[in-house]
Amino acid sequence: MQEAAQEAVRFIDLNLLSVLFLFVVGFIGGLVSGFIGSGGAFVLTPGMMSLGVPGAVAVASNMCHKFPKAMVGAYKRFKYGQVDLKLGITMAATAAIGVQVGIRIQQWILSVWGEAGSDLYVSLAFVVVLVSVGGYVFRDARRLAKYGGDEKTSSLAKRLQSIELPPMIHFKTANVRISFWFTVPVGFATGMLAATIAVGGFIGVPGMIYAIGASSLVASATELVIAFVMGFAGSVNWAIHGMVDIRLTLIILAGSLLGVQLGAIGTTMVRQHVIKAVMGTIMLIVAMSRAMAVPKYLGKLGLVEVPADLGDLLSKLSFATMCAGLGVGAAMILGAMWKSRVKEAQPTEAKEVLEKSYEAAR
Amino acid sequence: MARQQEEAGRPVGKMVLFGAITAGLYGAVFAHSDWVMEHFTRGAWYAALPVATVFLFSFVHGAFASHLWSVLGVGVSRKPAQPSPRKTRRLVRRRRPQPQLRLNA
Repeated sequence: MQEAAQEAVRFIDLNLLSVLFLFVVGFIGGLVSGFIGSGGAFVLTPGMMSLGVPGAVAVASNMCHKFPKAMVGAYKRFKYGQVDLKLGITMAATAAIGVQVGIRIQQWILSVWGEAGSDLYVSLAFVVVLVSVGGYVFRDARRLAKYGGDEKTSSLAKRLQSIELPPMIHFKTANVRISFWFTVPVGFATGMLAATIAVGGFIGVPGMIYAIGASSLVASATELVIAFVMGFAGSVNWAIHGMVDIRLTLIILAGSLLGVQLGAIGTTMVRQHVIKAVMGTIMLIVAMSRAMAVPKYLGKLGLVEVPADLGDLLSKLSFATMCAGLGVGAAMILGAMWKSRVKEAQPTEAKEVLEKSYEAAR
Repeated sequence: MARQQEEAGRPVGKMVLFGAITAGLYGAVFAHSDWVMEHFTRGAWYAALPVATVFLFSFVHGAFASHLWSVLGVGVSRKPAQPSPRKTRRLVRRRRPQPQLRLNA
């Protein structure tokens, strides 16, 4: 297996275009991850595969870039006082169990329905989870943007916090006191989703906001800690099997370390509903992208008849939509940061005029 | 004046230093990519090589990226990102308390 991996890794042709593609997607992915805590790297695996990288090597190299990126992002946001380390470690511990269960389910589906069945399961999981959770996050963001006001703790989180089920844990930065047992399903679901669609944060961040009661700022920052812990364990596992193409990892890392820090800085500039809006938008576009891939897998399973041309077209459209989702998210972040900078600059000019008038009066 | 002070505080030297180290590290890996690929994909205990490499790169390149954004003037917002209760502003300038000579007899 290791020899096969080595052969596969050796034969990847790296030209200027592929290096540029990986760098740019790495940067945009880093920007989104630094801002919403996750969700920036899902384009990279299919992107690398489209460049001719074998699936396992693409997953391994992507994961190996994700954990240092998450580490740098978490450190940056920790300095801004946004990371709840205790919550992150608690969630990561239960997420690890979720990953193992998720892998077992995947293996079982693969043995019963084959590769097409496994792909269909992944796509359906994408669509169901992202439409339901993403839709809720997006609606909440729109409500906050429309009516203004502060972000409020959800009624579910308030109810869970009021139940005294030992051991109760106080998460200082998140300013939440909740039973450990209510963090378990959130962490478990995060791990399960990470093992299924490779982006656990799409359930981890909304889970921390709506079930545990953390703010979106703290939840998105804490997700980076979970991503680091899970990514590190996964990368070591892939590296032991010799599957990591360090060249690919380093090229993506070159872009993503620039992006993740810009995204982290961005969180200090915008209102919290922007984090929810970006997350909800990306989730809904990605769900749409995966929905496009469903007919192809149904056709492979023989459940419906799909012409080969249509299947290929839908696959290409699906990948393009996924890239568009990441692009739209990045544009929303940069737009919000730009607006904030312009707003911030205005009072400074007024202050300068005021100071000049003071000096003139003297 | 304030802008000049701000620019003077930007870490250009550190950015150049970490940028040069980053470029050197990338150059070293890609100049010897055959040797690197041969050893880094051996698996087992050799797994430490790619993991240690990404840690090293994330430290050096991460420091460069941080200084780069500072030099470009993209820093943490001075205003709080979240709404906070409005503080009442003092309309009248108060004089600072001055030390006064007192004789306690």
